[in-house]
Amino acid sequence: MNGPESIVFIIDDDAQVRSSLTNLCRSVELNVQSFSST
Amino acid sequence: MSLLQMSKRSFFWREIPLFRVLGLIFRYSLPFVLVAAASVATYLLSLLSPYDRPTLFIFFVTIVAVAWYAGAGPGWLSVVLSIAAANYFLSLSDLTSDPDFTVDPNFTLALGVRHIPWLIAFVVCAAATNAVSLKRRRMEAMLVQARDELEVRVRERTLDLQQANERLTEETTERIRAEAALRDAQNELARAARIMTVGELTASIAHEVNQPLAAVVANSEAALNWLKRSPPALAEVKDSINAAVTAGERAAAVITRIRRLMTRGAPQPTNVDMNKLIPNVMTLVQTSLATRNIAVTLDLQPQLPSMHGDRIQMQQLILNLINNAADAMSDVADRKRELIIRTARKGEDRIIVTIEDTGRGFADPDTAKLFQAFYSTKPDGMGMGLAICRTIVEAHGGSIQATPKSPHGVVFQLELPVGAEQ
Repeated sequence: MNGPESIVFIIDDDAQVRSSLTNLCRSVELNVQSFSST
Repeated sequence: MSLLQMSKRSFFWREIPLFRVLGLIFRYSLPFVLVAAASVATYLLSLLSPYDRPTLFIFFVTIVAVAWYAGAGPGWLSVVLSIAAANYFLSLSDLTSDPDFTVDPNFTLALGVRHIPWLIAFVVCAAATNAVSLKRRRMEAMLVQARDELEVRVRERTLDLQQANERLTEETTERIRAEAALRDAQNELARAARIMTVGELTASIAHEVNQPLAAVVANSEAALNWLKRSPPALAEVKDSINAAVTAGERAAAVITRIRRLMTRGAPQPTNVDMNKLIPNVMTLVQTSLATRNIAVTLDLQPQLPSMHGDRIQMQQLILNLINNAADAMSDVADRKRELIIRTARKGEDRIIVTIEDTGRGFADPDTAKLFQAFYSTKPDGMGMGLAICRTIVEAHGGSIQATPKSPHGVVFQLELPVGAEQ
């Protein structure tokens, strides 16, 4: 998960949850992409 | 004893024999006294013009007075006495005006021939005067009696009306008290139903609270991570904390909404914007609807006027209808489960809210039964949801009706008055 190619995908229907998890992942230097489930 | 009987009894002294005798003596002495007085007056007038016929009109006054004040018997007695007196004065006139007519002055009732028509006319007139006076007296007495009886009856009816009014006031007070008790009972029932509804929505509500709490935790941990950096990423820390605060406020708002929904107390009318209220209610049920695969469409007409009513009851109304629609679609497997909520304006003073589903529709063609208490088509239903809806709508001066939707489902339509304080 630490390689330059690693990316975390977040899928949730709640924008606030997606945003907070994206923020958390970015704070530990993870690449993140989020998607709405609806 | 009625007032009329009491009134009649107040003249009981007339029934005492002594007073009856005294009254009789007074009445029958009156003709003698008045005819005597009239005779004296006639005699005095005859002295002023001794050669004229005597002025007998005073006797008519006497007859009228006696008939009027003493009644029939004394009246006829006064007629007889007046005739005798008239005869006397006409005889006296013969004696004084005809020198050839010689009669003993001590006995002057012998009447000259020329005065006989006069005496006959006097007799007829005296009798007629007495008869007319007696008739007028009887009519006057009847009028007085009728008036007295009328007054007594009016007093009796007034008393009856006062008593009826007091009874009516008591009944009205009792009815107002009963209506207040009924309103309290309805409010309590509605509150119990709200609590029950909230209980049924526990999973959905827990999810609604859990989501922002998860966001709070994630943002807080992110803020700590941003702080651990060297140098600390303060801008990210600030953004994270702001996001955590926003999420916390969202969780608090959900809790506040639920607490308000369960509040005990009298309805508090205020201006309610249905276009804001409906999305608020949706936040409580959206997870529940999503887990049941129910698609929601809101078609809210812009610039919809507010209605005047109790916000909590309106929330309960919409919540009940949404839950009812969701339950109606729980068995649907062959088509899309869809809930459509629309708002629209109707004329100047009404707004329409429709809630459509694609559920099983009506089992009974009699839609009026749907709104009766304890009537339910659900096996585990209490049959109170729609009954409470109707009570709430009618308490706000509106109406609710259900119509079948083609090809499947039901349309519930609420018609509510626009608030007066626009």
